[in-house]
Amino acid sequence: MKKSILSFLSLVTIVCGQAGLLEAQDETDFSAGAEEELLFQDIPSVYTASKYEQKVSEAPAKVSIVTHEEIQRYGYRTIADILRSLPGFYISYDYNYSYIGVRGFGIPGDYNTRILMLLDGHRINDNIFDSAYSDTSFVLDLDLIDRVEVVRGPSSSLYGNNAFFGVINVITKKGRDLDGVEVSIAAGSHNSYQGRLSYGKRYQNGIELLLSGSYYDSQGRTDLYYQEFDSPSTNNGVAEEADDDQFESLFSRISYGDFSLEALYAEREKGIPTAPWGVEFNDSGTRTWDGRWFVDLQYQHLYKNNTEIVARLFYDRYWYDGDYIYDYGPPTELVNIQDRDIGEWWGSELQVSRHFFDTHRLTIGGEYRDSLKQEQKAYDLYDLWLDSNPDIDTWALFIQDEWTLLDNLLLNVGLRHDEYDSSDSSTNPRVALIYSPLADTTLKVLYGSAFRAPNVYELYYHDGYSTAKPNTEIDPETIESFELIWEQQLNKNIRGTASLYKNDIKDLIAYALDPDDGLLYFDNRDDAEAYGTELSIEGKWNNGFLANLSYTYQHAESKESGERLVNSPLHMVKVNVMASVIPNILDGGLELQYESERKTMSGDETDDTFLTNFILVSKDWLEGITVSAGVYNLFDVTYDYPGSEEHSQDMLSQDGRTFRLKLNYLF
Amino acid sequence: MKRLAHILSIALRLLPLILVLSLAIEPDLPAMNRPAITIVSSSQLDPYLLVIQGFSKLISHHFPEASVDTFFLGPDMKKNRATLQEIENKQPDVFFTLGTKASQEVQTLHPNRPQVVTMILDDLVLKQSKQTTGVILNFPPEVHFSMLRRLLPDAKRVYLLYNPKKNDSLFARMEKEADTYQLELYGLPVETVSQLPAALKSVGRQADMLLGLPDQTVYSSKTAKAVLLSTFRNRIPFAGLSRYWVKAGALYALDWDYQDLGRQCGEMAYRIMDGTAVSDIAPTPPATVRFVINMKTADHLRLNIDPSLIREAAEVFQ
Repeated sequence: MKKSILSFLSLVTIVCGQAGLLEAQDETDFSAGAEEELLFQDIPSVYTASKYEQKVSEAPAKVSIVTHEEIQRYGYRTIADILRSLPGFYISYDYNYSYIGVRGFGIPGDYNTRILMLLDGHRINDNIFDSAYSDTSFVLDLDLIDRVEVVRGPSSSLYGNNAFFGVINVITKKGRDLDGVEVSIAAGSHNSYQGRLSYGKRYQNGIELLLSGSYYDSQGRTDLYYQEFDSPSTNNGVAEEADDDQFESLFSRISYGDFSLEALYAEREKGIPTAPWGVEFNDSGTRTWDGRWFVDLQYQHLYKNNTEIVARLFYDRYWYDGDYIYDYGPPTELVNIQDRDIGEWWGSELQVSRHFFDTHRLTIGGEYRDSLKQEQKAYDLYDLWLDSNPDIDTWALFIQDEWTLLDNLLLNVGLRHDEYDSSDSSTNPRVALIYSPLADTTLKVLYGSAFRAPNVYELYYHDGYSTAKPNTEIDPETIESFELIWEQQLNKNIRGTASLYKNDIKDLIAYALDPDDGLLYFDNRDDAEAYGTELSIEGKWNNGFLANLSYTYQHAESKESGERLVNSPLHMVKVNVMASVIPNILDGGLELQYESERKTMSGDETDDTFLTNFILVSKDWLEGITVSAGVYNLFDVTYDYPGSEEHSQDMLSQDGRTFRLKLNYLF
Repeated sequence: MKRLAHILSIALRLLPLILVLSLAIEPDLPAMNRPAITIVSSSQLDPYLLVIQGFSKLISHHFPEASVDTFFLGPDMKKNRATLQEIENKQPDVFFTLGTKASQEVQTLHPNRPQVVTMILDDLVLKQSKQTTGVILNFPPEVHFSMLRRLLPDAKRVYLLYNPKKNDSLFARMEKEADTYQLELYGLPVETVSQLPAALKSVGRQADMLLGLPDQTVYSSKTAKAVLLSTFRNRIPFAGLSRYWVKAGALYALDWDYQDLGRQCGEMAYRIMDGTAVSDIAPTPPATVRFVINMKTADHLRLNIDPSLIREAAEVFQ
């Protein structure tokens, strides 16, 4: 306690000292510089600057930003590839969906409900599963991404539901970024082909347009061996031609002045080779479709009195179809059990920000979402056993104040209240103290909470009570988080970040088994906690050399059992290096990723893994043409991810070495 | 006659003595008419030194015998106090001051002594004393707009960020002139640095270009990175404040021929010493405009710059 008081006093002394120094500048001190000196001073070049450094250091959270240049240079193919490269994030894949693990939590079977995914601020999580899509089912071609902003930690105080472990905001390119027609074609392993045609322009009358269409088709792995199915009746454990993947999307945005209208259509079809939920093994009829379209109208205006208004009106539709082939035995033999889910909703958001007394930036806002449809149907040839269509609406109000206490001390406080028809309401605060004792040093102390309301799938889904039943009495799960962050510019090229966090989770929603009837159902199962540290150093040099190195330690455990959580590696080391191989002709990108073992559902452990990806990119060697060639898992390392409840496999073996060749031509 | 011869003989005897005496005191005699100039500069940065060089060259041309004292103010407060005390004791014919701080200090110490001023951005210093004239760094609106039109013929919506408490009149002047060049000029008031991010976002959405004007609230060492990065990311051409801004990533800037600035000021000082009243010498803008461009930024913005314009540029960053 004494130590804390002393530390506090020294902090106050430093702060006051800084303030005193500022006041001490008298009229004969010319170091402050007169107005004209801003004309004659050297200014750090925009070319060597980290493009979003200020945004990162001033944010009331730990933020990573991945730019389109990095996406191209490291040859990222999915959002999951991008997230995998960041400290604190890890991915698992079950040959249907990719699952995002963050800060020790990657609960198998969770359809990424604890991450909020936004596309230009528009919510991507649907209204049935609350899923954030990170694989080929992500709604947009990665070539259209300008940057991905990843905010770690609970953010419900601003974003509400699902902003539990973090928020991923994908910002798309503008028409002016293309300024013409761009064609892209790519070919890769497993007979994978991708094509895109885009047009972007900013016209002289101020109208800006971006239109793009993409198509992806992959045969997938032609044969996948699973020892759990190794018997003559199940093709000796080999699933053949059952891993196909198709994706198509259309994206458009038109903006004029303060108005912007965005429309998107996307659908992905995926064969499931792993035979989950006890379906027939080696039957390519088992597959899922995830589709989405939305229209989003946004108005953003800055008034002369510095009041800024952001208003949004949107309409969304989501659909999920699942075909699951079961062997009913004679006389029908194979039967298709079908899931047909449709979500439709509209909503609006309003946010007003204004500066007060030079030191406050106050933001107030509200959000309303009206679910028009949250339909889940499940049936087979004989029976319709699930036909649910609840009507769950939600509204929220929030307030946030950025209070500049001193030139180098900022207090960010926020509070949001969310009302749900389906579950208890939730109020979540956030407090962040951001202090810059030196020009190159930023310290952040953060506290926040978040919630996740049970989704329609968790509340109402059942399979005719053969293995699963609904439970409408689920409370929202909650998280409380404390974090300390130290960001240090070590020199003009190198920047370091260290963070220390602790997360407390209550009423975690997960599958439970009712001992009375042997049925699975979702319920508030357990409390959990996680603590860890993330250390990273990133450097950028004039000659284009760029390097990131990070180490993550994360420990997540069940409070009930005290056991480490499933699918949660303790250690992760990641290295990303980008360099010019032949100046102005060829650039290289190298990724090294180490992960310690993950615990599986059975209590076993996967091996630790060391993956290497290597990409070569030639940009504008021929005018307008960019060619990239990538080798993923360069050393063909064998590695597994844990399976989840629906899998017979305890571990799912992942891809070995794969390739991709890609060509972009900008007319 | 004898008396006359006697006087002459005394005079002839005294002549060498007179000659010796007059030679001995000769250096002091012209000193009474020798022009004296005191130069006080706010900075020792290269541009300031070049201005002093241009000034001195012109003065030495007109007054080879002129006495010139030069003082620099700097970050050392103690040293500044001593320097100002020394300046207080000076009684030159003309003060030549560079920068707002130095100019204001000299005005305070010697309110009634003629003063030629440069390396200042507005006429505030000039208005404070009738004994002050000089060359203001700001280029007139028409110089800005004619260059803008040549470089970006399609630009229509030109945005300015400025602190209305300080630069309202500057914006008004620009706004008045914009019509002549078929430009729509939009001013976004930025009273504090914290208001800058929202203003930059607005520029990113709507502007065809951002025209940088010297305004310490908007453009400073603290905000430079934010302004440059925002315009760079949004592919908005940004007319920077000087070559240093262009080197850092702005598309172009109107820059100064510093020696010529010194020469202009030297002409003013010469006229004052030649007897012209200070009030008869009107403050002027710089006589020479240097155009500086960054082709790397132009490529990023996908701009096709007229090759003749590139040839005209005083400096091209690649």
